[in-house]
Amino acid sequence: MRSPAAAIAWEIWRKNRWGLWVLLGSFLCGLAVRFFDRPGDEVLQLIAGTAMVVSFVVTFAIFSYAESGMQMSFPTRTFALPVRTRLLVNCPVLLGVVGITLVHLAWVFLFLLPLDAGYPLGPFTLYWAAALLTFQTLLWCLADYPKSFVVVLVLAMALFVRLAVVLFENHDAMRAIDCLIIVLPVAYLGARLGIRQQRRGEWQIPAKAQLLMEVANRKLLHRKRPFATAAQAQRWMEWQRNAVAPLIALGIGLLVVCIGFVRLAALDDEFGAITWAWSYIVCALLTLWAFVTSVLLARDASSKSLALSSFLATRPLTSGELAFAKIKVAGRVTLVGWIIFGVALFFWFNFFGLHADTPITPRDGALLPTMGFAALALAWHLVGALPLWLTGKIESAAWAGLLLLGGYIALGHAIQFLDKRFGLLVALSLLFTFGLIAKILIAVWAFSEVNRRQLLSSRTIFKYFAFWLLGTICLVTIASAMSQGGGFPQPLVTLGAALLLPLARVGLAPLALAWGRHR
Amino acid sequence: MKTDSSPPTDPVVEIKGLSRRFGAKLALDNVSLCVPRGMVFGLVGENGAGKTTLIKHVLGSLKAQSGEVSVFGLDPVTDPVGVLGRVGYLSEQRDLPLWMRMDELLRYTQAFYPTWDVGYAEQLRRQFGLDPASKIKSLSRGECAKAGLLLALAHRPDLLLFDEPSSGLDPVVRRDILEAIIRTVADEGRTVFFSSHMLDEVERVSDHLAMMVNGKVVLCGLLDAVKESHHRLTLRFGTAPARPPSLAGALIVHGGGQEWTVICNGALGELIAEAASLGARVVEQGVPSLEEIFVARVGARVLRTQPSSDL
Repeated sequence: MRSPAAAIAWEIWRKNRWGLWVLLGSFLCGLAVRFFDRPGDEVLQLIAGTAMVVSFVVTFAIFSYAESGMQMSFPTRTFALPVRTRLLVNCPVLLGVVGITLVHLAWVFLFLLPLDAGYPLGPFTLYWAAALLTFQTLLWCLADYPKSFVVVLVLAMALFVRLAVVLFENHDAMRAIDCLIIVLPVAYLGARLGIRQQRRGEWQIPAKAQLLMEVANRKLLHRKRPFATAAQAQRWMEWQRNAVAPLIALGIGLLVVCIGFVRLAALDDEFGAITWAWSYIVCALLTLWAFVTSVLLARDASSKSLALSSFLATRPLTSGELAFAKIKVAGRVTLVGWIIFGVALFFWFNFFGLHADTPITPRDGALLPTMGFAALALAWHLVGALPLWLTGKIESAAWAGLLLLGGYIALGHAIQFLDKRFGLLVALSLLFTFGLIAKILIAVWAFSEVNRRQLLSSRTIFKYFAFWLLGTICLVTIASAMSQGGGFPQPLVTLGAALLLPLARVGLAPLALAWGRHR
Repeated sequence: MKTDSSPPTDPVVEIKGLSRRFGAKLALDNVSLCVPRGMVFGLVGENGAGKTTLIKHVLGSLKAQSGEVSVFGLDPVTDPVGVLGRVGYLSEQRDLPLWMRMDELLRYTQAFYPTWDVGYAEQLRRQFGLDPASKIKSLSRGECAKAGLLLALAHRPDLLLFDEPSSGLDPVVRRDILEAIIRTVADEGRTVFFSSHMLDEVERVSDHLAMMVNGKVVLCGLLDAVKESHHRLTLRFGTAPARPPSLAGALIVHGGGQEWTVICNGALGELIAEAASLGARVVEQGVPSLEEIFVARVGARVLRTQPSSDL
C-alpha cells in the first residue's frame, strides 16, 4: 500500500466486497429492465425501482465506514495510526460522495431519465451527496449516544424528505438547493470536529446536560423496585433496550412531518397532492420504524449481532419465555405506534378535515385511514418476522433487511403472476386461502412442538390462542364494515383480515430461539 | 422444570464420548470426563484446544453432535432452566448489557434466581468497589470482570462455571479475591469448574485437572496424582549422545552434550533402569510443575538448547 489514503480505500473495498457485488447485481438488473422495457410495464418498473432502492441502501452501508463494536462507530483503532485526523475523515467522506454520485448518475441514465425527462439531475446530485455526508456525520459523532442518534437521524430524514418533495415539485427549488449547499460544509465540519474531539478524548456531552439527562433518566426510566418474576424482568429489559428509542423517534418524526406539511400546505393550494405526499411519507416512516423496531427486538440486548449473547443465553428461562418477552414487547410497541399514528391522523384531519379537495372525504374511499391501516398491518407483519431472525443464523440487520425485502418482492411477483392468469381478485383469494390454511397448519405443529418441549406452559399457549381468536374476530368485523361499498368483495377482505394477527409466527418464535440458543 | 433427583455422590457434570465439529475442524474429539461434587476442577489447554466449546456444551449453548452431557443428572439442552438456575457462569467475553446501571443489573439478575442472596450481593459489590449508579459501559475491563463474578456468585449456585475467570483481573484481585472465593465455594461443598491459561493459578486452586490438546482430553485426574505420575529426570551421559536420548514415557527432552533433562511419566524405577541401559545416570530427579507438564504435553517433543555442533 503506497499511502494511508490508499490503505483506507482498500479497507473500505475489502470490507464491503459483498456490497459491491450487490451494487453490480442491481445495476445489471436496471440495465436488463432498460433493455426489455415496454412503455407502461409496471412490473419491470417495480423491479428497477426496488433494485435502485437496494443500491442506495447498500451504498450508504458501504460508506458508513463504521466499525461493528457494541455500537456502530468510527473505527477508533485508526486513531492510533500516525496520520492526521483530516486524512482519516477526508478519505471516507470523499469516497462516499464520489460513490453515491456515481450510483445516482447510473440510475439516472438507467431508470430515472427514461421515466421522467424533467428529472432535476443537478439538484439531486447535490442532494445525495449531502444526504450521505449527513448520515456519516451523525453515525460517527453520535455513536456513543444511540437514542440521540435515532432521534436526530429521524429528524434529518424528515428534513431530506421535505427537501426531496420541494425539489420534485420545482416549487421553491432554489431555497432547497441553498439549504443543501449549507448542509454540505456544515456536515463535513461536524464530522471533522467530532472525530478530532473523539481522537483527543474530549467528545462528550457537557457536564450540565449530562446531569440533566441523568436526572431525567432516573425519574422516567430508572427501575427502582425489584421484579416480581423473571419474565417481568426480561420484558423490562427488552422494553428499555429496544422499544423506548424507536417510539420516541416515531413520535418526533410524525410531529416533524405533520408540522412541515402543514406549513407547506399553507403556501400551496393543492391540498390533495400535499395530502397524498403526506400519506406516502407517513407510511414510509411507519415502515422504517417497524423495520428498525423488529431488528432491535430480534438482536440480543447486549450485542449488535442477531444471535444470542452468552449473557442472555444463560438466563434460567425457557426459550419460550425469552421469545415471548420479545413478542409481548413487540405487541406493546405496535399498539403504542398505532396510538401515535392515530394522534397524527387526528392532527391532520383537524387541519384538512373540512376541505373538499383532500382525499380523506368519503367520496375518495377514506384513503388515509386505509393507507394507515395497511402501513400498520405491514408494521405488525414486520414485527412478526421475529422467528426468522431469532434463529441467530442471519448475521446482521442489513442481511435480514435484504432477505425480508426479497420475500416481499417474491410475494409481489406471485400476486402479479396469478393476476395475469386468473385476475387480481382470484389471485388474492387463492393466496389468502392458501396463507390461512398454511398459517393454521404451521401454528398447530409449532405450538404442539413448543408444548412437547416444555418451552411454554399450556396456559400461556391457550391465552395467546384466545387473544388471537378474539383479535381476529374484531379485525374481521372491522374489515367487513370498512369493505361495505368498497371495491373488494367481502369474503376476500375477511380472509385478509384473518391473516393479520400472527399465530404461526408466534408459535415458531420459541422454536427458532431454542434453535439459536442450543446450536 | 424437572427436579434433580440424583444422589449426592453423583458427579455434578458428566460428559461421555462428546464430539463436536465446526465445518472441517474437529473441536471436540470423543471427550469424556466427570466433575465430582464439591471439587475445584481446572480445565487447561492451549488456545483453540476446545475448552470454551466444552464449557458451552455444559451450559447447553451447544448441542452434543455425538455423546452425552449431563449436569446435575439433567440434559442442559432439554432442561435449561433446571440446569442454569443452579449454575453461576462467568463468560470470558463479559458480555453484560452495557446500557444498564449496576443496581439495575443486580435487580434484573436477582429476578431469575430464587436463591439470590441480597446481603451477599451487597457485600461483594462493596468488596469489589462497584458503584451502584455507574453504567456498565463506563466500567473498566477489570470492573466488568468483577461485576460478572458478582452476578455468578450472588445466588450461591451449586456449580460455578468460569471461562477464563482471570482474564482482565489484576494480580491482586486474582489472588486475593478470585482464588479465595473459589476455595470458599469449594469448602462450602459446592463445585467449581473453570478453564484457565494461568497454570500457576490452576495449580494453587484445583483439586482435579483435565488437560486438553486439539479437542482431546490427554490428561485427567486428581492434581496431586497427575503431578506424582510425572517426573523430571536430569541424565548425564559418559559421552555425548549423537541424538537426543529416547526414553519410554518421555514427553519432552531438552538439553545437549552430556546432560539432558527429560519430563516423563511412568514408574520411576523403570525409568531409572532404562536410563542406565542407555549409559546414563540420573543426577537429579524431581516433581515437575504443572507448567512443565503442560509444555511437555502440548509443546515440541525435543527442544535443543545448544547448537547441534555441540552434540
